[in-house]
Amino acid sequence: MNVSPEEARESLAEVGAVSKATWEAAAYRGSDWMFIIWGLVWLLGYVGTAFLAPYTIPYLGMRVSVTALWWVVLLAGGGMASGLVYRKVTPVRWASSARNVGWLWLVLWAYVYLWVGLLVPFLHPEGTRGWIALWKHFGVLLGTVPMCGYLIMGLWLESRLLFWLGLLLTVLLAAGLLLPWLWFWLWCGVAAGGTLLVTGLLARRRGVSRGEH
Amino acid sequence: MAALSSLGPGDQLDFSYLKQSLGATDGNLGAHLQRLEEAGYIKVDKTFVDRRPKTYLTATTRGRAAFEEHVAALREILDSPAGPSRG
Repeated sequence: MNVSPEEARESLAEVGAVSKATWEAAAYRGSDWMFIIWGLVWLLGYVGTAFLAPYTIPYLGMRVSVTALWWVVLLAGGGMASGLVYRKVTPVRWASSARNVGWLWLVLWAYVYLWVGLLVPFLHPEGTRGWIALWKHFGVLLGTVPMCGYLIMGLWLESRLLFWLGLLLTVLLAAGLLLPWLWFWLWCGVAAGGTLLVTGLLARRRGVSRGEH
Repeated sequence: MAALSSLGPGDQLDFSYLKQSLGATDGNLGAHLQRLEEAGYIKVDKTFVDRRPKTYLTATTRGRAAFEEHVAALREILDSPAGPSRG
């Protein structure tokens, strides 16, 4: 090969840059919309919980929590919207579904439901204060599961944004436990949901979803 | 080939993304890809997504091997104390 060391060095640098950009595009494309979608989900979910918590509706002879229904609708909607956005913007058709980041999230949530299901029979809160504390802890658990996902993805993809966002929101959510009932839910909505929403909007302006981070 | 080889075997990359990321025109990139396809280094899959035509590209096993050989040769040039190799 009749190439000078300088030309070889430039070619290798270009190969590295293109490889990195492609992999990042495959992972990050649409991340701005993901932050906006899930920011809205958390904002509406937590703020909604602050006001809907006391209400139940009758269904098939049982009383079903309106809050639980609210979260099911929001999470299902968020999941569908995320899937549609990802399908539209991703530049890669994966041969193996194992490389689809969506599976990471499904597995993470499935394990959380498993752990909660395993622990619930042993939880016997005492009185109203006990129940309030339990539901606040569930609220923090719900919000910190995706933050764990962000931390993992931040380490996996070497993304400072995802890593620090996951860490920051985990701390903010946990700090909310110090607040009384109503303020706790409002704090989680604004701190977690609001932060994600603002991150998504800033990312759209700065082109983060194009890998410029 | 760098972009395609950065993905896993069988993963397909959108032609439009590749064109945008390389800053190339349809004609330039198309001609380049045609040569790679004729050499057996890539496969081109033309399909429809949401009723819109889409072209996806995949590096073949032969293409990945050729690319890795090329990268290894470039690294050898850098590592060699004698300077660039001839032939």
